[in-house]
Amino acid sequence: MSSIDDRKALTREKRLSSLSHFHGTLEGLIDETSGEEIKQRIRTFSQIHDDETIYAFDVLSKIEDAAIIVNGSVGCGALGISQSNVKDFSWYSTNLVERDTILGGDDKLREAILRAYEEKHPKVILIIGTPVVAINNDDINSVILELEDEIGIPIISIYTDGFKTKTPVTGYDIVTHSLLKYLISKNVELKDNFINIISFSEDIEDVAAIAEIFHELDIKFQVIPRFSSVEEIRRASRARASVVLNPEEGDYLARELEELYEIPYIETEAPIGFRGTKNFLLKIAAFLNIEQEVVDYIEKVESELAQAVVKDVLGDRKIFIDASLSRVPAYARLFTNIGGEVVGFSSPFVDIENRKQLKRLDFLQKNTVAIIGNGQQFEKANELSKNQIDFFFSENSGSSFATDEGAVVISTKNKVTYGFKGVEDIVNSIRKVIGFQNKYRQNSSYKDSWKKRSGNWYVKQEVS
Amino acid sequence: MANIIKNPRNGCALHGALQTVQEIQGVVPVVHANASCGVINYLANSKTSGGNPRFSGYSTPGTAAQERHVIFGGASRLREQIKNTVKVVDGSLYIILNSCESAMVGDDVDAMTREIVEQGEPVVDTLIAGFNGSAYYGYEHVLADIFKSVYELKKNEGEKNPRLVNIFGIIPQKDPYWQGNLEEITRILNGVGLETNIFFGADGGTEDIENARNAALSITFGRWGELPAKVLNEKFEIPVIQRAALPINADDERALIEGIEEYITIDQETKEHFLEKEQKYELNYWSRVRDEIIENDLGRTVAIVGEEEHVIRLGKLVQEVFGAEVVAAVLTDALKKDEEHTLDNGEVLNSIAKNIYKTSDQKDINDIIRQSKAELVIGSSLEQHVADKHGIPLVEASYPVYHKTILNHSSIGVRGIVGVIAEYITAVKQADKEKEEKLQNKLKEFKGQNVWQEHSYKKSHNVKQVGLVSQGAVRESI
Repeated sequence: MSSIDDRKALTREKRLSSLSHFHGTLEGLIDETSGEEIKQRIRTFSQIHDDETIYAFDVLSKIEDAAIIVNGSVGCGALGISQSNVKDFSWYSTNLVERDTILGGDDKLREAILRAYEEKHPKVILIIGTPVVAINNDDINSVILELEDEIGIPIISIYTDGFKTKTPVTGYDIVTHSLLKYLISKNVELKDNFINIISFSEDIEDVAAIAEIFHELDIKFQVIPRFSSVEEIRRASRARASVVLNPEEGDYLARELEELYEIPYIETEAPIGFRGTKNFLLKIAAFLNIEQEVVDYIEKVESELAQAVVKDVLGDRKIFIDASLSRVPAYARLFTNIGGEVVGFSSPFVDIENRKQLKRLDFLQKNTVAIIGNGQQFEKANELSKNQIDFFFSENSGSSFATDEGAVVISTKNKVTYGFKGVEDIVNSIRKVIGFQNKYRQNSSYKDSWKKRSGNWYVKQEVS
Repeated sequence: MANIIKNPRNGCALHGALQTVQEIQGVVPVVHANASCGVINYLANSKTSGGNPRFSGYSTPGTAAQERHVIFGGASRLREQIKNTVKVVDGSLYIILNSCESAMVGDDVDAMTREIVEQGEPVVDTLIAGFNGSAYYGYEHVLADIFKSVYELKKNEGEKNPRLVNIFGIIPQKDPYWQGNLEEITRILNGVGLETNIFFGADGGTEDIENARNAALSITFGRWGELPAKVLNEKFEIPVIQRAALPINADDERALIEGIEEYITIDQETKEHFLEKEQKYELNYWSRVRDEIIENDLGRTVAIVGEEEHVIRLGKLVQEVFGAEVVAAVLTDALKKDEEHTLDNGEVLNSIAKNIYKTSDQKDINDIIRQSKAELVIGSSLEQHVADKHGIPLVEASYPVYHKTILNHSSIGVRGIVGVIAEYITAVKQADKEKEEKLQNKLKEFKGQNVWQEHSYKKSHNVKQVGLVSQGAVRESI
């Protein structure tokens, strides 16, 4: 049942029993996550990591004609600096100081909303919550109610707080909930011919690679909510169907659009590798009744690619995959196909929706290392060093630590990983990094005594 | 009441404290906050210019406090985290950093630190919270807090070093050229037989923290650094010299060295020989570009946006080298009311800039630049848009600088300043080239060619200009 009537989105832990703390084997993880609920665990040593505020800000900052207010201390406002000086992007911080933590920050929020409206003339104002505001329990809704009529555009509170969930992807759920509740058009009479491509975290390279395929196949589309405009988000309820690039991030929006506005959700897998991309496209083709065109297209591209991709590029080397769980099976299959041995993987979370991905890893050994956690490089260092892993394939920033543990890092940053082009890019980058990174190897940041311990030493059952 | 800030660039006190201790080799920071406070700082800095140290971003140990720690307190989680950090991560000094969250909850961070110190582990803490101030505040206070407690841990006093000088005020990450600037100040002082304690970067480390008490002198450049120098003065009677800004030429270097001579004897022959070489180096490069400076009329009107020390240093530079006029100076690190510092640079600033503003708000800064009619801007990458909009060249010199990697480049001393001079000349030349192209097009237009295109260009250009009329007064928003 749709949760749209709730004031705010539930955390992933509450909605889908998500787990962010696990260290063991693939078999152990399947076992741990097979029940109706997944038991929570904690780490008694941890490293800092993303939270839902960062995820929410990141996706919202890519929406044109929206104004963003970070309601909190000035440090949380530094989030905008990380957006690399994108032209015309600006943001506001309510700059809460100690006095505001005592007396409340409502006045500042009011001032920020009016300023954002006057200066940017946005189509929507988005207010991102932070720990200070959540602890203070500031009454944001009263401010919104008071000003929405006055300025005549939607003012939307994004209920992030930085400490109520261990699963940063909740930030995307919170954004989804707010967009559905306050922005997406409820007028379902008008339908259009385009497909919603739902993207939350993808880099522009990957979105462009998929957009190029859609363009070549002459499929009308719009990308939401990342790289979109307010108008595009509004008309999401008029689409012919929705497809999601990373199911564990976009499922919620696609399902809600289906339930609320009868927009069919074409369920597929992340378009990674030959097989993943093919499955992704064939599912869409089946829905649109354009199978033959798509099969012809796939055959054409595959025959060109087959010449570029050498089968044994990994030459029996051991590889560890550090990626979102929805993408791990596709990567694992690709690396196996090009001659590698996948001996471990790490993903930020597993929940009762994306746990199906674990079953798709049935071609791997049961004792394949499985780490579930946001960041937590120390546990990855433990396994990399213990298992003498040759390659560390990572979607995350700061991955060079793995060189200190003897691995060569293949990073997905700044390159295409989606679509057929992704296959070529990944294989090319493997070729480039082989034998190149030794000079960066330094002493490990972690004590030998830690690396001799079992990697799950600091993962404990949660005692409530 | 502190104001709303558009595009805040200064981070918070936690960010300042974190990026300061991260750059001390051997230090392991432990952040007691919700999961992402430290990550935000990492994400911001990794998009800018200086590379990342070993314990930054996702490798930083932290409590990743959850709702239960907000409701029931996070002290026991902190205790657990500290205990396990010293078992997992290799470091010679562990520094606990506090946050808005733990300050609001009221966690007894100090008690947790004392507990582990009693077990013989090298741990210190700082109690400043994010909302206490900017990253500049964080830099000063974390250093002051380290010096207040670290010597309780490191009982071995070592010996006084009569040639050792502590350097404060060059702030990691916040000064985009911090690594090169620390190296350049070291080169200058080494040149006259002195040694430096620079704490950060390639030649810094926890040994510098330990040795700080044995220094003969502390020097603070600019406002930020006064506090830690004061702590060392009170505890170990180390005298302090305060300089408004870092040196930009051989004369400044002489003045700096002569200031030091009030406390440390320097061999005169070594000094004169060194300064002579500095003078020669400076003259060589300055004279190589004098034709360009004189013939291209490089004395433009300039607006400078940056921290106070940058404004003083770079303002003086453009006046002296190019005969430029600083029509507006925006101090992005200034405090509304500064009760912690004794340094008053009011007079120096007045001698440099016609108009001085205190704000870090982007709208204010853009308005100031627009109203100043400056022909060149020295600022951060955040000023790129306003500069582009008005066709004004920009020299990027203050935080944040995007799309440029700055490692050991310096922007001070006779060697570092050569690079700044080159950037200024390059920026002006490029702008002049564009101007020349426009004039050529205009000439064509007068001759009757390309008339349609030029009219259409002018029209759109004029429309844009109408919208640029300045609005509102400038807020003091720090």
